[in-house]
Amino acid sequence: MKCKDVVSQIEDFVDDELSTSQHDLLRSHFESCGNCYQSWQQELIFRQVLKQYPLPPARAGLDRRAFSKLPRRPSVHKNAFIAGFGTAMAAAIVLAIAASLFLPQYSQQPVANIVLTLYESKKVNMVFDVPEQVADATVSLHLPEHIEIGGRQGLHQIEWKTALKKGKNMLSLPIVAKMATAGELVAKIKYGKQEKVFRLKLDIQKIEQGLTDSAVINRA
Amino acid sequence: MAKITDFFSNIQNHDAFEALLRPHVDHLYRVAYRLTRQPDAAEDLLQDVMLHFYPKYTELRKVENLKPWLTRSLYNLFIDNIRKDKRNPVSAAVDESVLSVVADHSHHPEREAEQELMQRRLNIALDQLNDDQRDVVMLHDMEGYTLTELAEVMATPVGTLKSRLHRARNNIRKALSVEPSDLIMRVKG
Ligand SMILES: [Zn+2]
Repeated sequence: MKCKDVVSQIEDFVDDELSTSQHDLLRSHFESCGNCYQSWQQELIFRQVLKQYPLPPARAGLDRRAFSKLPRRPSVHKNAFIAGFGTAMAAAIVLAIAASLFLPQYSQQPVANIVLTLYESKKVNMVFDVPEQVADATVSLHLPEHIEIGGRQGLHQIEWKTALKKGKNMLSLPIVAKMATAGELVAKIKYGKQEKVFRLKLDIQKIEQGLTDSAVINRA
Repeated sequence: MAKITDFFSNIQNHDAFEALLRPHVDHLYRVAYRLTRQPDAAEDLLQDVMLHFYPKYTELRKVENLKPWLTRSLYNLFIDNIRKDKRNPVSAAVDESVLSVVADHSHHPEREAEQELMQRRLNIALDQLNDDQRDVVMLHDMEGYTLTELAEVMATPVGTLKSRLHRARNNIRKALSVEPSDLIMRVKG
C-alpha cells in the first residue's frame, strides 16, 4: 500500500469507517512505516484534543431553572396527596357564579347555598367573569377540615397561579363531605393588589335526595 | 368558556412532565452549550425546549427513546430562534469561561498557560468554521454523537455530515497548526 493512500484513509481508520480488510491493511502498514504510524498517532492526538475541549459545568440549580419558563406549578398546602387522583365523580351539581371580578363593593357574605350528600363527590363549577385578561392570578380555595377537595384526605386548602382569560372562566371543583356538618367554601382570587372572595355555604345531607340543585347567581 | 386550570391534572402533569424530562436536562444543556457556546444562551435554549414540550406531555410520554427526539427539537429551536436571527451571531463572542475551566483544574502554571493557549487556538479555529461544520464537529467529535444519530438530529444525510466533518477537521488542523510534539505533551500532561 502506498503511503499517500494510507494517509488519505487515516481519518476513516480512526473513525472506524473502513472495511475489515482495509482496516487490516492500514494496521499492517503502520507496523512497517514510521511516517504513517506518526500520522496515525497525530490524528489520535488531534481527536483527543477535540474531545477534551472543555465544557464549563452548568451553574448550580440548572435542574430547577430548566423548567422556569413553564407555567407555574400549583402549590398545595398541608399534607395534601395528589398523585393518583382520578376518582369517579358522582353526578355533578352546578353552581355558577358570574361576578365582575374586580368590583370593590362585592360582598364578603356567602353568595349561595349548595347541598352535598355525605361521602359523595360532587363537582362545583364556579364561573369568574373577568373584565380583562389576567396573566398571573392566584386562586386559593379553603374548605373546613371535614370537606375535602377531590375526596383527597387532608386536602382542604389549595393555592395556585393561573391565567384568566377575558370573559367567563370556569373552575371545576370536586368536593366531598366527610361529616354531616355544614361548612363554607371560600374561594379567593388575587391579582396585583386586588382580591375577591367568594363564599359558598355548604349544607350536608345524610341521605340521597334528588340531585337537582342548581343555582345561578349573576352579579355581573 | 375559558376553563380555569383544572388544578389536579395540572399538578399531576406538571410533576410528571418534570420527572420525565429531568433526566435529560444535563445532556440537553451540553448540546445547547455546544451550539450556542454561551451559558446564558444555552440555558435559554434549554428552557425553550421545555416550554415547547410542556403542552405535548401526553405525546412525549409515548416516545420510546426520548434523547434523539429532544435533541432534534433543541437543534431545530436553535436554528429557528437563534441562528436565523442574524443579530445574534453565535461565533462573535467566545465564552471565556471555557478557558477558566481548564485553569481551575490545574495547579501547574506552565501547563495552565499552555492549555489556555491551546483552547484559545481551538476557539479561534472553531470560530472560523462555518455553522454547519462547527455543529457537526461539536456534536460528533466533542459530544460523541454518531453520524447516524446526527443525521436524525439535523435532518441531514450521513454523507453530507461526513464531508462537513472532514472539512471541519481539516480547517481546525490548519488553524491549530501546532507541532505534533506539542499536542502529545498537552494531552498526556
Ligand atoms: Zn507509509
